Amino acid sequence: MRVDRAELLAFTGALTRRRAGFDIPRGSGAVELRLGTLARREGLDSVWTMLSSIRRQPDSKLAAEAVEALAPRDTWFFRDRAPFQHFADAILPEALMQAGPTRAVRIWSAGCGAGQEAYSLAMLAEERRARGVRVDAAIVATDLSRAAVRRGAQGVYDQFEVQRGLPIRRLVEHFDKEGEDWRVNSALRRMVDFRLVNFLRDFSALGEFDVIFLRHVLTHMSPQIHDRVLGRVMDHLRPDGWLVLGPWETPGNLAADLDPAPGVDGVFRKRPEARADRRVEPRAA
Amino acid sequence: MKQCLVVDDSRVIRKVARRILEGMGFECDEAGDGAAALTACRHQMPDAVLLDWSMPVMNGLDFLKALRKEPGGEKPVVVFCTTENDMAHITEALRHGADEYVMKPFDEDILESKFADAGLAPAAA
Repeated sequence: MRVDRAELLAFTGALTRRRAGFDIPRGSGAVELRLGTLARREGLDSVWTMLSSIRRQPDSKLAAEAVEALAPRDTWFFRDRAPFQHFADAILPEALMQAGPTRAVRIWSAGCGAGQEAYSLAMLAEERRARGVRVDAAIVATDLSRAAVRRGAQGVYDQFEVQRGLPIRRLVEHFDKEGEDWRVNSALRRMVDFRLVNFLRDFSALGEFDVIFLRHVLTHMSPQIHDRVLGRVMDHLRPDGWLVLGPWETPGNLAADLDPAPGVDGVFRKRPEARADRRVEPRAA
Repeated sequence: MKQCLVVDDSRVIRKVARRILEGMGFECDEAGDGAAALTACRHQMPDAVLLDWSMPVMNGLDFLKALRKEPGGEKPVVVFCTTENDMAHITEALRHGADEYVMKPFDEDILESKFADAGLAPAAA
């Protein structure tokens, strides 16, 4: 059977947008790369055969697995550096003061991939604690993909992954060698709770956060979905809490509820008077 | 332009590393073992040294120990680049004054990231 790849790509893009809000990577090569493993597991001769079959049964388990496999996942430790430095120097100390002695500072790594961002934040909290300061911090890391969440909870990274963005002293301090791989130590693993979250579904159980890292997520979303997802995420941010976005990501229509932090790109504080009901929320298609 | 001395007994590795480092804006010199590297440093102290561990004549760790005793020898940023990838080797290198540590095999992203961690180049995007 002759399959029209352009048509299948258009279908796949519509599927991931509708199911999880994100756009697929550009180009058939990137899609083939992401879905190859799944197609082989299903015993199918190509990714295109699999996508044809998914198009006939878009509510199948296979369709859901394909969406997860296509979710953006490339990440590394301390990605872009500056926001993590700002977290260590400014955000964490102030958030700890705000939280006081009775509750933990709650941090959300939203769209966490295999967990590098969450563990980077955990390392910074741990390093502050090592200096003799009381640090009560809890990190919740969420992703759409079951495989990503599972990997994150295991905290095992290969030699290439631990050399992307991670200084050697932090590797020595926070990891144990396991065979050829490296595993984040149990102190860090205890600090991070990995959960499955689809930004388009209900995630009210996550509760309220002092700090939300939502980086390299909105960039994969069309503008309309972008505002809707950011609005829903921000409903989980405490007044005066911090929102950290990726480079070139902007708050769009939500800018009125946020103040940019001076001296660092992509860091915002939620205005105390920000109210969900003031927001114009475009409806999903 | 910053100078980097590439020390490895493999000509192929030196060539690969040199190409990446020159792309990052370094001017490179090469040495095939620790003794040759030490001679090169006495002649002109580089800003950075990319250093293999296991080499004939003088290994990387012995070179590092000797370098740090030389006048001006505390200045170069030393980045190990070696197949020795266990915790014992890494901690020993750090204890003797290594600044960063690359575990082979490496690629351009890793080298750029590690040099940035050592304070030598702008971070890779």
